[in-house]
Amino acid sequence: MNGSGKRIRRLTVTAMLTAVALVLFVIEAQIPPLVAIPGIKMGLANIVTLVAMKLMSKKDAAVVLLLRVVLGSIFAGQAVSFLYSFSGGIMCFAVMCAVSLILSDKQLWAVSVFGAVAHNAGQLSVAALMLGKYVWGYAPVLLLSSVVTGVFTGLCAQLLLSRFKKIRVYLGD
Amino acid sequence: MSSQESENKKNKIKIPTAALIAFFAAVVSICAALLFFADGGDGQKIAVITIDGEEVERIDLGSVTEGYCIDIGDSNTAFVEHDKISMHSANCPDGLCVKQGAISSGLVPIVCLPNHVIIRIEDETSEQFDAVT
Repeated sequence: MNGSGKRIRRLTVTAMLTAVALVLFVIEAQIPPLVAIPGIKMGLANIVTLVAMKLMSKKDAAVVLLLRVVLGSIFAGQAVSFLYSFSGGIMCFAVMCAVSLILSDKQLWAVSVFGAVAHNAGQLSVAALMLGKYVWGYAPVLLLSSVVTGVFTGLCAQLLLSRFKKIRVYLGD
Repeated sequence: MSSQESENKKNKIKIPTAALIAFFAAVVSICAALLFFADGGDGQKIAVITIDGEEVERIDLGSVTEGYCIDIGDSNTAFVEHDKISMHSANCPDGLCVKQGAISSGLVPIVCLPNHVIIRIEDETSEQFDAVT
């Protein structure tokens, strides 16, 4: 494939993944929370970030993530939720990039867990800045939930990637 | 094949999956144990209510005999009972703070994120915890 074809393909796939992430994000916001504690959620949109990271590149995954966070808070959030989404997303992405260097593709679920924990840590830091240090009392609850949801979303991403491999979609450099 | 795979092959550090599972299992059980067993000491329980980090109310829950409601700003009301406190109503969109129910220990606070309200309980155990950390 020539250069411009590749670029177009990359643009379309980025747009498609962003759309999928956004839909997951908006749908998830409509589902009543499983546990009545702020900050606990499935994090389904992170499946797409993980898939983008492995299917394309880290840079493309960052683009998908940032677009999803910005568009997500326009479609589904309030003004403050952008700050939480953004800080969580950045932390999550940075940690996932770092741990994916030492973990194999088969251990993607663990990458997702570390990401989920980092996501909550980022959100708690912003909450602590805005509301005071006592929100750190949520840390054990959030740590517990993020390990569980991280395993789930990570396994979803792994399953998806194995399907993608079967239909030979590959968009890396 | 892919840059990702060659990246992994080049890498010398290998972390066994069993180690990862053991690590996460340990984290989960420590958190669960902390939440399960730390259900309040016998010390005096004082509910502290803050808005935007500023203390607006301080109630000795041990001396409460009959439940009653109090207003927190114009946005929330709390229900105070003997040794426990819950959010009774809130005008936030999700109402998670109300659904959380009553708390009776200093471990987990009730936070109403949209309204910046925190209800926490101070007891002897949590003061010791603060002193250590």
